[in-house]
Amino acid sequence: MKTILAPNYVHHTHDVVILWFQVSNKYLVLNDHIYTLLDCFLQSKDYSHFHQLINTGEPISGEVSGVLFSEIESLLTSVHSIDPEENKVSEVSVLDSEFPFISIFYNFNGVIIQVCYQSENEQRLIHPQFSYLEIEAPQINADCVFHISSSNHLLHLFKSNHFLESYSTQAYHLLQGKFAIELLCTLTQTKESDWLASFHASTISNNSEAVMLIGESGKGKSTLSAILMDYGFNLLTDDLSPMLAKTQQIHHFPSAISIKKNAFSLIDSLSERIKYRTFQSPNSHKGLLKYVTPVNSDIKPLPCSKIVLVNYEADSEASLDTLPIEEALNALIPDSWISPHPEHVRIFMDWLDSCSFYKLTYSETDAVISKFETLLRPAQ
Amino acid sequence: MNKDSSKNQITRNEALKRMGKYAALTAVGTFLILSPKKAHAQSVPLDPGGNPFE
Repeated sequence: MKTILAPNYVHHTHDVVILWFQVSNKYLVLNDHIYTLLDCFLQSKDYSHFHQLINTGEPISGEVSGVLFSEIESLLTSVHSIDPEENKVSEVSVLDSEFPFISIFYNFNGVIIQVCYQSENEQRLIHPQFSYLEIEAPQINADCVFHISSSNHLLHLFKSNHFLESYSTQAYHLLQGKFAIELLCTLTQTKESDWLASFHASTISNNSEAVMLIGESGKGKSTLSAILMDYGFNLLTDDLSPMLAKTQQIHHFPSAISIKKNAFSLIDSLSERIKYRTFQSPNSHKGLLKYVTPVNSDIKPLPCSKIVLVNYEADSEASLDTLPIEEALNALIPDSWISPHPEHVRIFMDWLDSCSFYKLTYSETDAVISKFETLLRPAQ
Repeated sequence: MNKDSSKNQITRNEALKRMGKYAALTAVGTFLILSPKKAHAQSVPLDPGGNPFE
């Protein structure tokens, strides 16, 4: 038995086998045939035993079994290798409380959050997403205070005057992500370890169930979210969809939808229901972004069992097709944070059993709404 | 993604000759190695490498 190379978790779902390796937090998605060979490899004492184990049906030559043996060994070794953590900065920063920060208050459904930015550069990283919630400085203390400062090409994040992490200025999306999860924990009175995942997805709901929109940046997730919101669906969250481990429900996250320049005219064509503010992109070389205010009649957490890969294609006819789980996982996992806690991995895999996967291609508003309505009916 | 080459009309030995690192395995079917992100992050810019402070 080659137990040292064995996966920590094996899960059969949707005609594939998913293996998980704790040391590297990597997932290996296989078909049944490869899994059978891999299982024989793990059970074998050595090459000749492996050759014997796989020769139960149609004869397999020594040459082929030898290649398979070395390839499986190489594959299992590679899924155990730990990738270096990119943009990891170990520098600790100290908060200069005397510095004249730009202080902005936000009202998150009754929870008052104060964010103190060292300059307009730091403000541009966070403020546009929440500007629709900005309020005058209240008479009472904020429920939580964040500080964002920078020095020597590094950004520093503080919560309640405690240092959290530093990031290189080029990795500002990591600071945004950390701020988002810390804000979420404050708003929901949870700990980071309570969360199963923060999926790179927008989530649309009808007050009883949610549908997750996944896909690469630039493939039309945010634009589709605005279209569906205009039609009457709720926007539970845009860009980052947090799932709580205990309930496997997607929680509301109150950031505005950021819309890039190529979708400005489409956003302008929507009804007056859709309101937006325009800001300079966090990266000033990239021009303006429009931040669409979320419209929700209900923000309670909801279960989600439909995952849609969004694919905007100019001049295409709208289509909605079922998607193989491999393609869905290939879009979802590498772009998301998924808790590496073994119990959370088990819950994640079990949740996949309940999911169905689709690919939605669109270019035109009415046609895509009609396709989406076959998955989710608007709230009555 | 490694494509299922069994759909192509080639034998396993031919596949062995043609394919790369995991030639024999990919002749048997598909597999994917997927790593989740190590930290929470918002959308990575479409053309990363720009510095918001420069």
